[in-house]
Amino acid sequence: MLISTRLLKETIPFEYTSEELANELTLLGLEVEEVVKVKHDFENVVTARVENLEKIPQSKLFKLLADTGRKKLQVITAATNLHNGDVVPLALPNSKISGGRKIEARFFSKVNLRSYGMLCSYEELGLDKELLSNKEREGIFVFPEDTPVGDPVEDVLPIDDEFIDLSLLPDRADAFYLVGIARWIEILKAKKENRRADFSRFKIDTELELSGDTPLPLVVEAKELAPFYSGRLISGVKVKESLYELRKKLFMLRVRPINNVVDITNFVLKFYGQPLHAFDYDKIEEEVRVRLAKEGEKLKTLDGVERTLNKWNLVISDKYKPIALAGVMGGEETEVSEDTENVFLESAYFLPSCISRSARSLKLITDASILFEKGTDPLFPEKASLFASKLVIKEAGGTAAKSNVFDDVKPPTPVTVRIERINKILGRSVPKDEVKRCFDFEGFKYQDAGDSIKVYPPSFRRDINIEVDLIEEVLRMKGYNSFGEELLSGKLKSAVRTKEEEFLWKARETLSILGLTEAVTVSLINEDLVKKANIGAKDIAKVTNPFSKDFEVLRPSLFPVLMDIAELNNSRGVKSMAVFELGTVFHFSGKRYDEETALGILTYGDRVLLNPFKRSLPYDFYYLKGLLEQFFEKVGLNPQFEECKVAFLHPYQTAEIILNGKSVGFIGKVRDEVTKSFGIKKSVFYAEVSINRIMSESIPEKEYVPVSQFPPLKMDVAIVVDKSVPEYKVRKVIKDSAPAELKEVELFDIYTGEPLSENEKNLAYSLAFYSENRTMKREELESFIETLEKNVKLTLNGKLRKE
Amino acid sequence: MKDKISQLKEEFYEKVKGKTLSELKDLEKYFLGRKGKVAELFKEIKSIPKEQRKSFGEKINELKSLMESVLRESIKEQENIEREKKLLREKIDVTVPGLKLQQGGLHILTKTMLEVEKIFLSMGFDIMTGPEVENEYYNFEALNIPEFHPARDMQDTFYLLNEFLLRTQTSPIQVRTMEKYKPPIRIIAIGRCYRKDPPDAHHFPIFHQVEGLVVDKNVSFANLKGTLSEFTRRMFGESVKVRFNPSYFPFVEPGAETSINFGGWLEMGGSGMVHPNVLKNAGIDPEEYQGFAFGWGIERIAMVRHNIPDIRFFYRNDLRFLEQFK
Repeated sequence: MLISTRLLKETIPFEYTSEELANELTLLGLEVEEVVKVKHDFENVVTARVENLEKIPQSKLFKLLADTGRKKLQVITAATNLHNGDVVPLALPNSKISGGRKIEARFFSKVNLRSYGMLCSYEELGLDKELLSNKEREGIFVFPEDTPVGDPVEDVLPIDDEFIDLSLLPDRADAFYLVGIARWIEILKAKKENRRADFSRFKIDTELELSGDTPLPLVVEAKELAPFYSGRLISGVKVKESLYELRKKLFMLRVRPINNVVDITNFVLKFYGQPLHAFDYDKIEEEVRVRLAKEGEKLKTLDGVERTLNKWNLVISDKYKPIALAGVMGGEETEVSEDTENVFLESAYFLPSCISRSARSLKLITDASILFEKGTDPLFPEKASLFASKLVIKEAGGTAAKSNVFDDVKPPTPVTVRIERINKILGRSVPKDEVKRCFDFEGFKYQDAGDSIKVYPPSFRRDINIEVDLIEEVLRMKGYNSFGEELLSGKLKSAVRTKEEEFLWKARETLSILGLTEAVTVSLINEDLVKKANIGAKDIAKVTNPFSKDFEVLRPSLFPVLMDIAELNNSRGVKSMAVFELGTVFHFSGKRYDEETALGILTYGDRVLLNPFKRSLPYDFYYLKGLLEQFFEKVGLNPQFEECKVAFLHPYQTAEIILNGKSVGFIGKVRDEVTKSFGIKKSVFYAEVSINRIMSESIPEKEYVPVSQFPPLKMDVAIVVDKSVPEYKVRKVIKDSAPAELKEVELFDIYTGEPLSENEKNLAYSLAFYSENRTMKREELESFIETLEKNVKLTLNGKLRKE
Repeated sequence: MKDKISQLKEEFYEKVKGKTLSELKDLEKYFLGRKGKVAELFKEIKSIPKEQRKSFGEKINELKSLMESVLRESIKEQENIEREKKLLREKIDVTVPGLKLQQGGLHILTKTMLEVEKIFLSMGFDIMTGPEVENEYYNFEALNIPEFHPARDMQDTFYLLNEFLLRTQTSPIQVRTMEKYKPPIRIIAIGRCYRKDPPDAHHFPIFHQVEGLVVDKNVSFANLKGTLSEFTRRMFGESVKVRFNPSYFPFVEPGAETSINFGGWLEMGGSGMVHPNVLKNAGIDPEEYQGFAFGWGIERIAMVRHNIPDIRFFYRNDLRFLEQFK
């Protein structure tokens, strides 16, 4: 919302620069976005009167004399919208128009005449098209006839201005109209001068002679929703372009002129904060009724859209049909046009929640609905109606009748604030006199009630309803930064994280020590990405109102998002990547949404960075598996890995991660066709683990295990088995056959080929035996070798190869 | 015999000059070996008269130890020379870049969260969490934002089916905490939030917030300021200036916006005294208890702290960006 400081100064004088004002308003709690400065960019353009206008024969051009008061200059123009007596902007010889073009005296050879300057359109003055009426947009810009000639145009048009851009806060209508801001400047002045704020300068002129009644009967059905409604007939008006003074004000209020009647309603809204609506009186049939819409009723609003109404919509209707969406937008049928002779002027107070609902249910937010939903002044509509009627008569002629009024506005209730409560909430004692002074600055009426103060907030302050609201006002007036600070006190207990959070931090630390970089990716993704990643999940959760396809589905796995960043990094020349993410994944069961924390790990490329030493360590299945095993070891768990299938992983290079018989995740090589669809030519490996599932397993506290003080007894064994025998079974046989002193079983070779048969493989292990109380001797292992040989044969149908 | 000894001595000096290590080893054998020249001399002792044997024996022994010591010295010297040569052969170019492994590290957002947590843990705040999929009650109604309230515009919401939604703020955790625990309450919660903000340099539909809530009998606005100022100083340095100004959030009153200054005021986040309606909704008597709450953006904190110009960088996960903060 842009507030013109130029118009603000005309309303209440002040000394602040725009930046200072912006800062003061911020400290008062109005949210300032920025200060916007607008300055004219033409030079030496003055007002001039058109005289002796004549068409040049056999050409499309006109010749005229431009009277600047000092000189009369011959000017040639092609514009067709001029009349003798018009005051227009003249770019003198040796001038500059908007955009920087230089204007000199110019000879028109076709007509053999010289033009001493150029008449300007709005574009050549750099005016904002959106703020101009249709007429102002045509041809040469024309000033009112009584504009003095010879004046620089920048003095005549309110172009040079500085605007304060305010954000709209939900409870503050005052940031939305000029007087709302002007009142805060008065409060700033009152504070500075240590006096009560005096808002009388903003009083609206309501002196108007009324004649006769408004014949159309008024029926307010929705009494609770429309506590005040006033409808007035203004008859015999001439609808046309507004006078220049009003258009100038609208320009500063940044409203586009339409016609005088509509302009006046817009002016009152933007300047005084009271939305009004003008109907064509003669198009209303038999009565004016304020009621809730019937479900399915239709209304074509001013913007030309036919709308289907619902039970939340409050409407103004005549005997037969809705004619306006109350507090939001008028209907097209009863719109005021150039043909309108009689106007029905509505001025009302609607309940904020009612308008908020109505506007939001149709997704139609207008200046009027914004004001109404934030809360307008319930005691102001009749005054605004009289003021607006007076303006209409000035601009469009006619006479105003007495209004038909429905008035069920309850007198505003006072709010009491306890002095002791102020102290308790603020943590500082503010003496009663100072509290009263704060209320004086804001112009509140109040009564001293001993330990408390009873406050009657002004009717335009709709944000003060309960005690804490007044405490905020005390704070606002004292200044948020004038109060001291104090650290918390009280009984201290040790502060803790949740168990899950603690686990996640430990996991993050471990994974980064293991050489993985943490990624934080988006959790709302494009459904195409899920498909591209070949996830094949069916229970995907989707938002029902996305604004873009890119943020539409909740990720069912971390795989698509990690592939996405792999694609990005690969395309940008990053040769190797090893990342993890600990993030939420989502599933929808048809009724419920489940979210859980998952660990995703994705690698491509090489663990050792490119080097001249011919060393490399490409990420592969076993590297990733080893990493996962180390991770599990670190957190105190010991899962198993078994063959499994996952849609997007290599069918024979994928394992399920099993903890206490339950699946907690998977690991594998990403299928080449998936990798390729992300533009990656290297092999990609991926693992995903459900943190919730591993957290539900009890993780035992680590306990001391004695460390042997004697040297280990080491031996190697080689076992030949069928290729289909999984390694873990061989390892199990070794462990099961060994005495308790066997502490380390390390696989160091897998061999296939001669002299083994085609279906055989040889697994070689290095074993280490430790005893707590002695140096072990080789002979002690004889029985182990025997048992092992037997078991290998029996359980694995293999054979032990002796050293 | 005497001559033989001096001849041998001369021969020895002649031969030992300028010899390499292996030649010295050969000489050692030649002179001092079991069948070497000195051994030969000893054999010859038998052939001389008995009374001279002793003195010749001593002389040969003298020569032997002289040879031994000269050879030892020469060998040592030659060994040093050989070792030096070997080391020289092993010379490497120490300016060649070292062998590097892919290094791990945390994302700048989680690093920031960790730092925030540490500061609040040290001030006695527990860390809470809550779900990202919320319902209308916790995300809005319990926080004094009824349906159709204009405040909902400030938080354009992603909806799911069955009246579920993606939380637009971490404030629902306030409500959940107050329902579950009795005052005194002193918590923060860090989490992911969602709003329908199209991405640009300062907006992203996904972001993280740190939420704080303190409820006790005498928790005041001065405590709110004290806590947030302390946090700000520890996060951004002692010299940072902190400012509070009035603002509006439906679930607090009085409400405040906090800005910090490194040369211009930057808004950091909202806060305020917990609104009586919010306390009532959670079953806490606002006459007996009061409290403050705040909600700041993690991305915002990280952007200000590390001078990161665009919020989208966090979610792009370009390794060249991430590595700057590992």
